[in-house]
Amino acid sequence: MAKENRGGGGVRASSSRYILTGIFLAIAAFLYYFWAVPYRAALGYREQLQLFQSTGQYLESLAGRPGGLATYAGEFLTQFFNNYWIGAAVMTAVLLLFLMLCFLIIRNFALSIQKYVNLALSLLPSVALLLFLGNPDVTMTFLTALSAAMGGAYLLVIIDSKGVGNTVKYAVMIAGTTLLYWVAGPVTIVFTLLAVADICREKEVSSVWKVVYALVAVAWLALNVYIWSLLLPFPLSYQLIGIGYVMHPDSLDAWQVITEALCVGVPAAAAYLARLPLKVTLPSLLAAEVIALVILYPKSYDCLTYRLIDYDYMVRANDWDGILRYSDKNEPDLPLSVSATNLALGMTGQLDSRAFDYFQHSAEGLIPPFVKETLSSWTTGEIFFQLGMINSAQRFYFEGMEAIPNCNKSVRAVRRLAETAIIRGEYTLAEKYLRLLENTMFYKKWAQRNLALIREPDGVENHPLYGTLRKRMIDEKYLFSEGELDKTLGQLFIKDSGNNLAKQYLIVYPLLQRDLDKFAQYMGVVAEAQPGYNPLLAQQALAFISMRSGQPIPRGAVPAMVEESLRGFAQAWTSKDPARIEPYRRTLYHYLLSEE
Amino acid sequence: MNAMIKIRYILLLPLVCLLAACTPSPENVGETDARPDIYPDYVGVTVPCNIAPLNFMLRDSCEALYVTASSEGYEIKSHRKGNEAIFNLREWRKLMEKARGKAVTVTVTALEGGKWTRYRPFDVNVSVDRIDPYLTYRLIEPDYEVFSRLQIMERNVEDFSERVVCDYNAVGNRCMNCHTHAPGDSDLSFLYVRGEGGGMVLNDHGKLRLLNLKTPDMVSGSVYAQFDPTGRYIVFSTNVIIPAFHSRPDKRLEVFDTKSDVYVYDLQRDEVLRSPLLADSARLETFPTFSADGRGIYYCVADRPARPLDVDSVHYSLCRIGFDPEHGRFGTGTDTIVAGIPGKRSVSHPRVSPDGKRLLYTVADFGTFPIWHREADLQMVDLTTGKIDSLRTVNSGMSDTYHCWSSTGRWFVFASKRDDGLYGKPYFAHVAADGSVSKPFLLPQKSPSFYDENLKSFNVPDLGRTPVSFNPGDVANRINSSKQ
Repeated sequence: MAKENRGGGGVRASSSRYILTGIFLAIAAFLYYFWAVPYRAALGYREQLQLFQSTGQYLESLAGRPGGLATYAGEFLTQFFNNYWIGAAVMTAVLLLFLMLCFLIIRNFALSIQKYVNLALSLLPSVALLLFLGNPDVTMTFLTALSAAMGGAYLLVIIDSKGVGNTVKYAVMIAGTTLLYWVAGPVTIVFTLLAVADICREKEVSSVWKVVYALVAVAWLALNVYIWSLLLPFPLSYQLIGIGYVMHPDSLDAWQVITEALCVGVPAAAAYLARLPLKVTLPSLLAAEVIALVILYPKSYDCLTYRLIDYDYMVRANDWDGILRYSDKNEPDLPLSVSATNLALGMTGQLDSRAFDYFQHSAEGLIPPFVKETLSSWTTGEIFFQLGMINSAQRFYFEGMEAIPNCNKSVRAVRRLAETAIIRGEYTLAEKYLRLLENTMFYKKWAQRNLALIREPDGVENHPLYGTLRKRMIDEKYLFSEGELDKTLGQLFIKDSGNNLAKQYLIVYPLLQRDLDKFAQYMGVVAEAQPGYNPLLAQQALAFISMRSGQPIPRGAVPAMVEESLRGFAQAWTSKDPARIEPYRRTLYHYLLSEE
Repeated sequence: MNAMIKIRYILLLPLVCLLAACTPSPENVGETDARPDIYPDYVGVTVPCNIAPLNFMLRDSCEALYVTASSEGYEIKSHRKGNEAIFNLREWRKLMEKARGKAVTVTVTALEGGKWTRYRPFDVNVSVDRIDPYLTYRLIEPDYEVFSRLQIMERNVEDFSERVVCDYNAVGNRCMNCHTHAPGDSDLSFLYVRGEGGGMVLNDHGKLRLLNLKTPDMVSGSVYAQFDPTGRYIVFSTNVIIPAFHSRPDKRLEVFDTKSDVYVYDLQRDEVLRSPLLADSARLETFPTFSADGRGIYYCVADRPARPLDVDSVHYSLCRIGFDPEHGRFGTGTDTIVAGIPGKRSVSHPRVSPDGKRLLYTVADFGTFPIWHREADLQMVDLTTGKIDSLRTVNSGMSDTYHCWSSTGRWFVFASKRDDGLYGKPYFAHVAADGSVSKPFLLPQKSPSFYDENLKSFNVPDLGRTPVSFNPGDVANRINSSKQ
């Protein structure tokens, strides 16, 4: 009978293990899908805001500050985000490791705890962490640092469970705190408090000893912080928040505090929760987690922020069709999304016919003015790059990199800077950037190809991209003015009438300024070089000019369909009936009149 | 932090020994008449006898490098895998002591493609003239408008130690301008922290004061400034500075003044001294500096252009006005020392040698911001004869400017963009008693690949005899306390 019981117990344990493994695998699958599909752009966003170098000098530059090694490890992992399939796997692995560590620590804190309750409890800090990661400026430094602190705490708990003496306990806590603070930074507080919680749950230890241990542990951590503060030029607040945990070094996100608090609080409370009836704890915990996710997810993963990240991701990948599909689903209404949509229209040759299918506000929607912000600068830099305004592209990529809040360098920007230097013929400078990229995992081959290219005598001239863009560059000497961009567009077109993007921008620019005289002038310039050029917007503008001036539309200049549509709009507009005007809301006619 | 680095090195020692044991030794060595292509280029340079080891790398890839440096029968070596030659500091110092006033012969033997090749040896001349050991500079990205992570650093050129004097973290990522020593007193200096609550941070032997020299009639706060030899006066310019961007691929950024004037501040009497000759609204006066005896002020001046963007029509001349330090009075007339020439010469950044015999300045084709002008070169005028030395051994095809004399006048340091056209690096040149100037050398670094990986410019290097006696926390406290 006893044997049967053991056997039955074995089967139950075995099936429970399978179920648990299955749950872990389901969580892994969910996380992988989450990062590989809807939030792949968030991975790319993080990857582009660093320039991880596999050199001793880079390691040394980080190792001299608390948490620097976690940053090194975090950036090492982040470089895999270059490929979202691999990146999602890396992110999933790190989050699962964290979940596992929570699970193992809780199991040691509450030996009698039921496995499913343990898993549900372990999910609490994990859910908090996932919500914290909704802030795209949270770096992998925090994840690696927190995992290191949890790993340290687990080791400490294991050592403690071996029945070691007080001296060893103190030594492990003291050495562990110092080492962890250097490796992981202020998240060491999790280790310290878990060490205290671990001592406090031991019945054979006296209260006095527990208090003394707690005071020593906290004081020792404070001393570490103080000593580092004497050596570092950082304000103390940076050291307390964590250097490199978040892009903005001086802001503390509430979710960081909540995550760290749950890492300590959940194991500390596990023994108590283990005593509660399973029927109460498990559904309550799972319900709390689901409700937290449902309610807090939209706030953490702010839709508008991620929309801009998505646009930036597609601009970086030059996925023009993707941008247009995205804009068809989500109305672009911010400078970045509008300018990215216009660029995509231009790159696919549709700007001069479909520009007003989307929201337009002004000519700044074509080329936004400079703002000290990374993503906007890079999107505008990409517009300049594609147009052939290489000096301006270089400037905007450089400025965008300098605007990265944590002062990191960027692989994306350095790559573009290498390209702009190649196009400008600054080969020594290009070589410097390419050598840096040679020290990276995902850009090494590209850098080597380009190093070989610039050493070939006519390599750049014959290159399909660099050679073309070099030929498009303006020769005329003048100081660039943001107020006269249309003139620069005209110069680009005159330099190379095959510059289709510059041609479309030149035509649409005055329309967005509602300056029809200028439009007529620029159309004249384009028509001289390309007599047959007569895109839809030009037809509409011509029809509109004729109608406004009371002149008949020149015969054959516009198709009957355009004339008809203008007549329809005119009737709707004069009726002042919003319902009749509405179908024309996304037309050039409406745009031209709506602000007049 | 240093202690931590030492601990790391101690831990790495066994590994290093193991690697050294595996480094292949030269055998069946072939000879070539070619000079080795090394970086930094130390071939034929003149260095002070107190310089840090001239570590370098072979630009061609190689498996191992065996380098000897010898003088007067004393030889040291660097034998390592890879393409870097790194010398032991203690051995190097001994070599420098032996080689004072003589040459060190460097022989490079490289293992390339499994074959050892010995290159033609080259000499490094070791001057008996010591250089001021403390070099301060601002580390800054060669940016357009956005700046980040600025630091003012102090490097001991006798070894590789470097420390932060002012840090972006400590002052809220604000703009900082360069640290300038007084000519006769290395612990009298100033730097600028820009933005609200900032100003000129004056270091008077470790005691920091925040000076706001701007008065309502000035066009801006102080921008370019220098001490007089006694440390009583600071001559400074106020400038309205405009950045603009070039269209052509060979140029990047243009920075110019639309207004500028020159004033003197009397530290003793806390008073700004003015001369109408230095604050003419029809002219642009800038880059002031005292003469070595403090009885004159050199400065640059140009006519204001009709339109501010006509910057290529602005050519500054180097002029001098007398100054009476006892009474704080200016002279009544000005002399032109070096005239600006349209399209050819615009003078900036005059610096007088400590003995007052020579004046070093930058020339560019036009304008006032030579660091962004590829054609910018250094020139030196003999103040007794007026003869101009175009410093061909010193200049490069890229910008050479932001120069500073050592206290002895035997060395000067300057920022040069010669390597890649964008990132400024500190080069040193020796000036012999007869005024002849040697081939300059780049500030040596512990790791020869340092400059390849570095993305900062060394801006406005300045030499001092003693270390600066304050740290980033002191500057932050000074700024914060003045805010309250």
